[in-house]
Amino acid sequence: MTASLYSLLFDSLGVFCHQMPERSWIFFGVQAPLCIRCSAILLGSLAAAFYVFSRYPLPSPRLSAILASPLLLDVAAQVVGLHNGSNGLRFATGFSFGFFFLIGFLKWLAGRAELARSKGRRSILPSLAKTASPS
Amino acid sequence: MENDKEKKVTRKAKKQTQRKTRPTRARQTSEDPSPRTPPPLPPSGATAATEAATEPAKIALHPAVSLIVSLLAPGLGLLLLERKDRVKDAFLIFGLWFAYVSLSFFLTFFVIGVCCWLPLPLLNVAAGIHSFDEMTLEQGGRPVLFQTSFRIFQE
Repeated sequence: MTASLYSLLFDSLGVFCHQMPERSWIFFGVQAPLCIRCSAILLGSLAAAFYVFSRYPLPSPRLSAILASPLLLDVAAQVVGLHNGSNGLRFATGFSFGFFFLIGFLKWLAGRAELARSKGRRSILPSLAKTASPS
Repeated sequence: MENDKEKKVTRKAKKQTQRKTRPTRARQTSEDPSPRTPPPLPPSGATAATEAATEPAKIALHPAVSLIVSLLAPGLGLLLLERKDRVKDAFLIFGLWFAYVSLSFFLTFFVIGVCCWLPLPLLNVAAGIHSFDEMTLEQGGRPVLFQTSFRIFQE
């Protein structure tokens, strides 16, 4: 029963994760269904959600984008062949990406809402309906 | 014989009671057109308590319920709001999320789709916090991130 559930989880998560054993955590001889980078992104997003609820001030979207970018640089460097990378680096860059990308996205969304309110609108995106042109 | 006397006595007693009750009924019908409805009673502690016990209790949902629903199915936490003017928004957000997931799933079979899954948790968490704040604002509390209620698209 447990083995079949694990295999189902492993196969379903394999759609969006390479699940390479050398890049995954292995707990008591069982490989985690997500690689270290994907796990770190999810953990970073979870930590960001808790951070938002702690009501501490959030960094600006621009700063968040800068702090989230190391993952992209790490991936690009590996693809080009500059370095092989390590699991620690994958975890660090993945965690910072998950954390700051979510924070930046939420801050941007909140900024859009405030901007819309200051302009007297209730929506953050323009109207879908075509406005009648003045004749 | 004794039975006849008893019957007469009971008839007299009935007639007397009917005479006593008739005028009062007439007064009631003249004042109140619907005698079935009871007259309004002055509010007292006991009656208020019984009324509160008979009325269905309105329990305000905790915003965390909305958060969890929107975390799993983005946008659908807005359906838990008492205001029903956000139903369209709820299904719109869920539709956008579902379209994104479907597109990512499709693109995954063409290599580039793997990257599309990276921002997926962002959508879930953002929708969850949005629903949380909307419900907090409705209940007069202090929101976490979105200080004002907003919509995605203008109608």
